Amino acid sequence: MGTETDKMASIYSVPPTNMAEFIVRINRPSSTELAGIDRAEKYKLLKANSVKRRDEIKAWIKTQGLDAEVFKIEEPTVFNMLFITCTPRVATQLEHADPVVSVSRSPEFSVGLTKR
Amino acid sequence: MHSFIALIKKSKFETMNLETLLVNDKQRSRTDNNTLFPKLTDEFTQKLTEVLIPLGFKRVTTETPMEEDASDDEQLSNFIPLNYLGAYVVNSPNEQKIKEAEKLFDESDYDIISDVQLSLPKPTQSERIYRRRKQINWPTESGVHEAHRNGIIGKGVLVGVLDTGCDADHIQFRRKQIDFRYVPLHYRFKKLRDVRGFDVDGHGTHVCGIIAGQSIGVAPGVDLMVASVIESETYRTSLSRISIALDWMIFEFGTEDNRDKPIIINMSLGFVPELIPKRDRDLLMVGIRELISTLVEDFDVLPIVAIGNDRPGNMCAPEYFPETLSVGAIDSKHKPAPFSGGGFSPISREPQPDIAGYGVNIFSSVGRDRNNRTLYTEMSGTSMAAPYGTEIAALYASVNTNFRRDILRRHLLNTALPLQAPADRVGVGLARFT
Repeated sequence: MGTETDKMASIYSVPPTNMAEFIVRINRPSSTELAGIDRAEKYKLLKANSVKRRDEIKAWIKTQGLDAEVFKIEEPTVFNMLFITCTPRVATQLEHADPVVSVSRSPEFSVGLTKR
Repeated sequence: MHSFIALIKKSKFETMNLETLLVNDKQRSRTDNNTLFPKLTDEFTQKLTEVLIPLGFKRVTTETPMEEDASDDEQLSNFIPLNYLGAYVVNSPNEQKIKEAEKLFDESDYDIISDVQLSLPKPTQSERIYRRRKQINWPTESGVHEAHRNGIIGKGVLVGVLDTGCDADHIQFRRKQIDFRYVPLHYRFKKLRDVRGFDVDGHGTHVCGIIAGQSIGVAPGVDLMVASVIESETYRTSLSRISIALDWMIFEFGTEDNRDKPIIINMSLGFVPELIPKRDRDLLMVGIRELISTLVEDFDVLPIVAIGNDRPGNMCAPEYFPETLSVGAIDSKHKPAPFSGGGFSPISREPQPDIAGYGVNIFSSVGRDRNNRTLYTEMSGTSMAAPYGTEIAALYASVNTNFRRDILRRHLLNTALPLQAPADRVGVGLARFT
């Protein structure tokens, strides 16, 4: 991320109260396109796709002058979603970025485990 | 029980985040300077008393409440002081009282934050700890003993577990190499930690014991990968944590040693969609479904999930997704457990769970005491039925490594023992190895 974001994430362990984590769904190759490729190669391809999309989104955020309102972008995974901690304003704007399919909040949730 | 937190507005004392406050607390101790720090002032306590007592909340105290002899009413209406936050957690007997209190505090110097997600599932079994292993007798119809007698113990199958963790030094796992990662909750540290398997709670250790405990497990020969993604105190997690953990697992699935092995992932976790705000719920469901689809369609994983303990007619997500195999709980006499959830999937309209497993008074590992002695306990829940089902699947997959995802799923369903109970309680019947 840009300098402002890097500085913010290195100083604070939790984001400012006006920010929240959002799920940003991104385009990815379809399962049909990936058919016949072995697991390791699929992992590489999907991960590379997520990294590429992440970089595109980072660049887009910078171009829009929004980087001071972004606390953190989690490391990309093999899945077609990025987790971005930012202001709601950035989240709304992100829906207009090219690689983005949708943006939603990423709430913590309680799980239905059994206690003994 | 519902909870809410009453906080002094931060603007009253400066805008600070939690870490800043804790740092300042140390400074305050040294300098005895109270001005920078929010605290439980008499004024705050008095205000709470004035507002809440007339609403039927019983008392306000700055001491830790919950004396054993407190009446039910008092326990329901307790105030738990959070001195360093200048806040109280207030437990309310019902939502209406919270709404009434919210109105009264709305224009004042206080924030009222509803926190319904703090409620946890009710216990389904009282606690009893054993220091020695009991003789485990999986019923004959399960086919487990017969499989073990024939040397079928799950070898060559990868099983991933998402849970509270696993105590790798429990005697049931000491001869096993558990590939373990901890995914921290908080931002600065939200990276995988490659550490020896631990489990503060015990739930994950219990699940792993059913799966691969050396002498108590259904399939002790499987290769076990465990990711700790659930906080032991709050039982909370997030989609980002789960995806970080699964990303690690998927990477490992592709390594030279693993790339041809069948894979099953056991998830004794789920959430009740109604507890998530509507605005987040739908997209969260889309996110989780895509994550599960990636596992199934791209990496040939069979995800096996507990249907949930919210009683018949209720289910958690992602249990009712068509991509997962959901497991309900029965007792040793084949009766559906009263807590075991079920119903009809809002997506596929098919009855759920898909299948049933033993989930009542299941004996398994739970951790160690301070003298390093291993402990066991009995737990009840669909969290126990799911690993049983997972490992029946692992036994099949170890016999025929071509059994993957849909084929394995179909085989498990086709070989189930039919039960005298409705499909929306036990699915096609009891998972068994034949």
